Amino acid sequence: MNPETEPGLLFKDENQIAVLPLKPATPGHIQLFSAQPFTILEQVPNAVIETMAITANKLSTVLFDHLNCQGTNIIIENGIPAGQTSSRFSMHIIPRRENDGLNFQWNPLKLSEDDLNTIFLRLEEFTNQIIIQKEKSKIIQQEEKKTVLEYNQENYLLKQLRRMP
Amino acid sequence: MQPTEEELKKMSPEQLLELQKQNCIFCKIIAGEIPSKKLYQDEHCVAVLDINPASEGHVLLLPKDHYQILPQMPEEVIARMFVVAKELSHAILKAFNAKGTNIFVANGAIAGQRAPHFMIHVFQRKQDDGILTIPAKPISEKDLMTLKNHLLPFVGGEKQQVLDEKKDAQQFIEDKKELDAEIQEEKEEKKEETKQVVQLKKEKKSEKKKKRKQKIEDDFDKFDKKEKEMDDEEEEIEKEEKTIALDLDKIGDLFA
Ligand SMILES: [Zn+2]
Repeated sequence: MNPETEPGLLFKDENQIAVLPLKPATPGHIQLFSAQPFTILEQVPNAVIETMAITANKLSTVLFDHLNCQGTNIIIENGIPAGQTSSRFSMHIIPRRENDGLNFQWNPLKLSEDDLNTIFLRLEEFTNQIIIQKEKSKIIQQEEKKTVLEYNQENYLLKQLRRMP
Repeated sequence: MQPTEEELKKMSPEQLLELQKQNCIFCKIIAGEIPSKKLYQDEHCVAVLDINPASEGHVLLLPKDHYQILPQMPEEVIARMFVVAKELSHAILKAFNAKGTNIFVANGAIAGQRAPHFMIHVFQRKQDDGILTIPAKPISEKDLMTLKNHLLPFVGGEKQQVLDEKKDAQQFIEDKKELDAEIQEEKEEKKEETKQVVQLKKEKKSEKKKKRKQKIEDDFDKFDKKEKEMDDEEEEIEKEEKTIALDLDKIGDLFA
């Protein structure tokens, strides 16, 4: 699909194309496409994501100020199971009003602490692999030191307690 | 100590924000005062596992500073957070061999925001899991153009002949809302009417029944009355006959 030829075209630059879709969720719903034909989020370069995120925020503010909405949703549907229907990557900016008939609430899964821990460990492994931290935050290092210290202190306390009759 | 309602009213927006911050669970999570499953953090944001997840692999990405909604945040933080959201999505895809993710932001309670601390949700999606769907409702070309012309001046779009349709766009939204409300009202009214008709029919039926019953009762009464009248008449006749007979006897006596 080519967002540039959409009748609801609002603006375009070298990174992005903003369009009023023909089938909006609510009147004023804006779809912000990448100007380049990327399909999924993972293909979009960080610099483009940054620009599009800032634009999505600006569009959100425009909807607040000029379409009298009381809230907005910003949603990325990444992949067909996630609801993506266009072959071009996009962000949805959806104005929300009272009784607009939309409901984006989900029912939480009931997961045990064990399940959550398994998910956490698996995700942590990949998060560490993927996210390149330009400079590891000093705060993390400090926190790590602190945790080690607390842990040792706890052990010390436990030992003390065990020694007591 | 929590301030009274009176004190709350007197507070400046800055003071209110400060109070909100002090009570904010997510600020406490970020500060490490409440335990959490922290996946990532940098100078701008912190990612934790959502313990009430929409799906297996649901991450909350929070700005380190307390902001309620996106428009309050510095662009630097917004830009960084969406890049991290992208990386988290990538991690979820790889970790769970997933085929889809949603990145979801709710700005304002009406949009489904539950906590006063801004956050970006990143979670796994599976086919037909029913977690989230953006509805698609067709809009007429005229309405689309009205909205477009209304928004163009504010988005710095290509210079076009922009008509003064600012009011029209808002009018359109109001009209649509009104129309929806009217349709709903009509539906309710019809329901109500149907109910009333049924009630009326019932009433009519019972009325007829009552009338029929009344008529039968009346007829019975009439019959009784008539019977009584006839009885009375007969009695009268009998009496008369007796009198006549008596008279005849008297006359006979005279001739005797
Ligand atoms: Zn907070």
